[in-house]
Amino acid sequence: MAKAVGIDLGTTNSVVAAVMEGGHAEVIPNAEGQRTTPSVVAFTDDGQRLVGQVARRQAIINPEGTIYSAKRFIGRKWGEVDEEAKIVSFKVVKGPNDAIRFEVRGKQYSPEEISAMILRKLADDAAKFLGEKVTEAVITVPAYFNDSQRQATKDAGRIAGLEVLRIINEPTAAALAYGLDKKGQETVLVFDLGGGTFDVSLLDVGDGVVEVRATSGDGHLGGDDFDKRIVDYLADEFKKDQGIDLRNDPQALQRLYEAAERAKIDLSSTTQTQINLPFITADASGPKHLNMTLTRAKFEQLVADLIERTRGPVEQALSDAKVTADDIDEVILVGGSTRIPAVQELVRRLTGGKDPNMTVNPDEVVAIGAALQAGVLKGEVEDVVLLDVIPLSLGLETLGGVMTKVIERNTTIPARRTEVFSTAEDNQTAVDVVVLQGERELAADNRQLARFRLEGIRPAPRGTPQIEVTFDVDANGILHVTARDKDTGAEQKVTITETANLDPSDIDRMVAEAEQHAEEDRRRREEIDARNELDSLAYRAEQLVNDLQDRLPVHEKARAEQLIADAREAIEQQAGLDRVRPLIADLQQIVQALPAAAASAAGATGEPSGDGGAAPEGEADEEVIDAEFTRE
Amino acid sequence: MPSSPASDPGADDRAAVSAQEAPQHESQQQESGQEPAPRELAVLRGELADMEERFKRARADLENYRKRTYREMERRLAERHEALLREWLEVADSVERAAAAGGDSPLAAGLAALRDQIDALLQRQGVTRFGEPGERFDPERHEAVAARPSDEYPDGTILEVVRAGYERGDHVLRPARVVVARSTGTGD
Repeated sequence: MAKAVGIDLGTTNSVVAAVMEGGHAEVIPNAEGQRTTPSVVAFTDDGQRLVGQVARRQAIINPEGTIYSAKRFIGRKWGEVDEEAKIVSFKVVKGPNDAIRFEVRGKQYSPEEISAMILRKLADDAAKFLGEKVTEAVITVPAYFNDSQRQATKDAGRIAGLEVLRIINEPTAAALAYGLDKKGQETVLVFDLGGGTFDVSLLDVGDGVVEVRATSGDGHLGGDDFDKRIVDYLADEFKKDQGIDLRNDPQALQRLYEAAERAKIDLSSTTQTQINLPFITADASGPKHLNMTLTRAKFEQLVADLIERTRGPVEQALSDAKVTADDIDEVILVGGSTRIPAVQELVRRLTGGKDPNMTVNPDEVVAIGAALQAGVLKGEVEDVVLLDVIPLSLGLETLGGVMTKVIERNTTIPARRTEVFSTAEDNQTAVDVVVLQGERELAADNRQLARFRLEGIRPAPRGTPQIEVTFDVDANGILHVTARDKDTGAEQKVTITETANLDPSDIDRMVAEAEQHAEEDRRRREEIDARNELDSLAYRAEQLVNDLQDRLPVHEKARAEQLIADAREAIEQQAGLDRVRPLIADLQQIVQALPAAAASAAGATGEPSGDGGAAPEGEADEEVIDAEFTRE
Repeated sequence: MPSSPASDPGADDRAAVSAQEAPQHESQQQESGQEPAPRELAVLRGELADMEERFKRARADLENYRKRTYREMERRLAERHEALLREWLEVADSVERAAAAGGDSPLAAGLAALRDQIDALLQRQGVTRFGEPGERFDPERHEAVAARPSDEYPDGTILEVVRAGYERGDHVLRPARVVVARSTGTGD
């Protein structure tokens, strides 16, 4: 089956995405394993055509034959793009009817043809990844593109052998990626700061319709400018120190650019970063190293005016659309540079303090939206059944008053999980099943949904009965809990409907509380778990002592009995880890040593099979889940 | 985790204790037994077929997702592994630069030994170094950082390797950064 993809055909980089299983859109890596592909095409002197990263790698030795920024020329007329034509390293000439042509070694190419080569690579690589043909695509263009630019982009798709299902606006695609079209009527601001261009758009979104109300921007502002500021700063500082200008050395400059970009990325998550470029250059006195610290504050100072340049276009777009900051319902960030905290801060200030949407990768959000549009047009997304998740974990109270989660929060429903539990005491004939909801470690801190008792368990040593507890949440969020004794088949169940009707604010509060108390809860849980472990070890040691009885040397037996008594006392007194942990270690050692001690004591008579009995029993014990029911 | 039961003695009387199970009434079926309502039946059959189709699709989606996730996991694992190697290659670069800057000093000999050790370690990871002056420039493997005219070599020949390339099998981990011969005025 052929697949329809979504393509973000960018000025510097392009991205392709497709709808995968369950109507979810994902970015597809290219043949080189990268999620973005440079929008660069090169024609080499030996007649090869290169697209993407490989084309970029040879740009410096083939400047006239390497075409980039084709998007700045597509659908334009000769005379409209004189400025752009002057900046680029390749030859831009006038074609028939004032059309734009790129000339490489006497051969002319239209911007559409160049774009088509990029689209072709993206589609081919996607087909390889998906294992199916890619014949149809939704392609995005800037909101300010006119009819001729849109038509030319569509033609590029056709030249690439793709059926262009639709050309959509980049900000619209971003809104689709966030599912805003499914909400009510809203005013959305899309702030797109890419590698080399800045666009801001105001959209009216709602009821499946997206309308662009205003656009503005700056055709030459982006992440590359930020990098250059860092490079200049580093080079200036180095020159001050060492008297050498690294910008005159292409090799050093390249390393500087790489380090600058990395520092910029680091500073989005940390407040300072180290830049180490050993042996960056040398003079008569020997090799020179660049070692510098760049703080976020310094970086923000270096790029303050660049970030400030986004203010004008945002205000312009607002006034063109005749809205104020307070009218904006949603803000979407697009483009890698929007990861910079100072950029986000400015956006917040310009939009009346609204928290921007940035959960979808800003480099990928446009392609994701385009893929979703392609999926809708192909009917792949239409029938997606909306599935709910459970907002809070569901579980049981087990030995020591802890909560054992059976279904974790955010599990998609319907869902069913079964776990096997056992008894905590010898000859226990009934267990209380306490159904809990919440994220805290201790049962008492969570919400109790139900409590019921399963009776008729055949008397047996603790840990032997197998009680199967099944939690089943149906599509409506109704929870069915069933407890069944696997031995007798005795069964009890309860149905709880109120799991679903929790107030969202209650859910948030409970999750927040769990996070707040996470550390203390973990410690308390650890203590209880340790005491439970000690208890089961003491029990096993006692069993062993009883089994081996007279075969044990007297002093071994006395030591074991003393330890068991100590353990019981520690549990009784709810002792802390400092007391419980050493006891666990001692008892573990005893449990292992006792059979051997008995064997060597009986060595004279020789009874090798005698000690075998205890060990497998111990192992079988561990198969049963450690959590056990409390006893009435 | 649910543990699979080794033996299941209660299997036969499973329904015995269920408190909420009500006996099924059969009277409904008898009441409308006269008229099968063919239209309704057809609608229901259609709906059933539709549901079955959707159910199978959902199952197939899950299977495909599982397979793809597995492939994706392998790919990402390899990607992370290579990213880590790539970061450490920078240290290899520095050691190489240090060794080159050291001349004949004993320290430089030590650095050369260190470089050999790094190379041996990379070799064990299946990573080999490439890029030599005199080779022909290939953008799949090389990244040009500068062009320089040369009397000795034809255009497109590597004159200098400023940073070694590394590959793992036939996969380029990092292209070699090179200076390439190029006479001025080639582009007509």
